[in-house]
Amino acid sequence: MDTQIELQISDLDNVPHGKLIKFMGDLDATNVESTLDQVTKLIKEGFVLIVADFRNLRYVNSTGLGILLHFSKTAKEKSGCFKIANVNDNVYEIIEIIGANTLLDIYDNVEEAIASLQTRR
Amino acid sequence: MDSQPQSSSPAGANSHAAYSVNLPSDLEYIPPLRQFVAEIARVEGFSKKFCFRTEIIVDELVTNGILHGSQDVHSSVTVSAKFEAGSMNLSVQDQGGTRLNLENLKRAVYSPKPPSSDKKKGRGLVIVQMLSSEVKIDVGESGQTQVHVVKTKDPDETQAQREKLLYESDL
Repeated sequence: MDTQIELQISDLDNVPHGKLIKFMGDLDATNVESTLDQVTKLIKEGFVLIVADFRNLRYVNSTGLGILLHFSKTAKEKSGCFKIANVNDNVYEIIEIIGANTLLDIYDNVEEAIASLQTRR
Repeated sequence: MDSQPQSSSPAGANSHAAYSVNLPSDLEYIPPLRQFVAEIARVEGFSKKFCFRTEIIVDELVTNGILHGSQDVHSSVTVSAKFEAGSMNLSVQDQGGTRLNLENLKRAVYSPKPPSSDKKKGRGLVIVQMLSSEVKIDVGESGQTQVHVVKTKDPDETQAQREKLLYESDL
C-alpha cells in the first residue's frame, strides 16, 4: 500500500533533451524507490534537462528530499539540470530547513524554469 | 495497527486528546498513521502549518524507529500523542537497534547536522529537531528507545485556536 504518487512525464517543446515531470501526491519512504527508478531511467536515456512541476506535490519527507538532491547531482554530472517549480509553502519549508534551497534550482513556476533551460542552449 | 484513544474530555479550554498506536515495523503503515495524528491536531484546532509539521515529525520518527530501532519484521513501534491547548507531546518507542544505531540517534538529536548533499539519507532527525520545541531520548533497561518530542504552538497558530474555542462556545 504505497502512498499515492504519480509522475506524469512529457516532452518539453524546443528542448531536445528535456522532460517535464509533474509530481502528484506524497513523496515519502514508501514510494521513493519507484520514483527513483522512473527518473533515473530518464536520465540514463539522455533526458538530462528536467523540470519537475510540484504544483500537486502535497508532501515530501527527508527520504524524498534525499532523492531530489540525488537527481540534481546526477543530472549535473551529465551536463544537465534538475529544476523544480511551483513548490508549496510546506514543502519549501522542509527543503529550506535542511539547506537544500541553496542546492536545488527552484523557480516560481514552470514557465520560468523552462525559460532558464532555453537560455542554456 | 491498533489505535486506542487513551483519554479524552469534552471540548473546551482544558480539553485534550491522547492516543496511543502500536504498529508493525513496516514502512507501509506510516502514511495513514502520520495523517491520522495530523488530523487529530487539526480537530484540536491547530493551524494547517502545525498539522503539516506534526505529520513530518511523526513520519521521520517512525521511519527512524522502523529502519534503525527494530530487530526484525515482528518488531513494533508505539506512537503516543497527547494534545493540549497549546502543545503536542509525542513519543515514539521502538524495540532498540544496535549500539551504533543508538549512538547515531543521539548524535542526530543532540548535535543535528545535515549530511553532505550527495547522501540520500540522514536528514530526518535534523528536520524533527528544527520543527520541535524539545526533543529528548530515553533508553529502557532492555534497550527500547523512546524519543519524546514537545511541539508548542507557534505564534501564528494562536488565531486558529481562538477561532476553535469561539466555534465551540457557539455550539
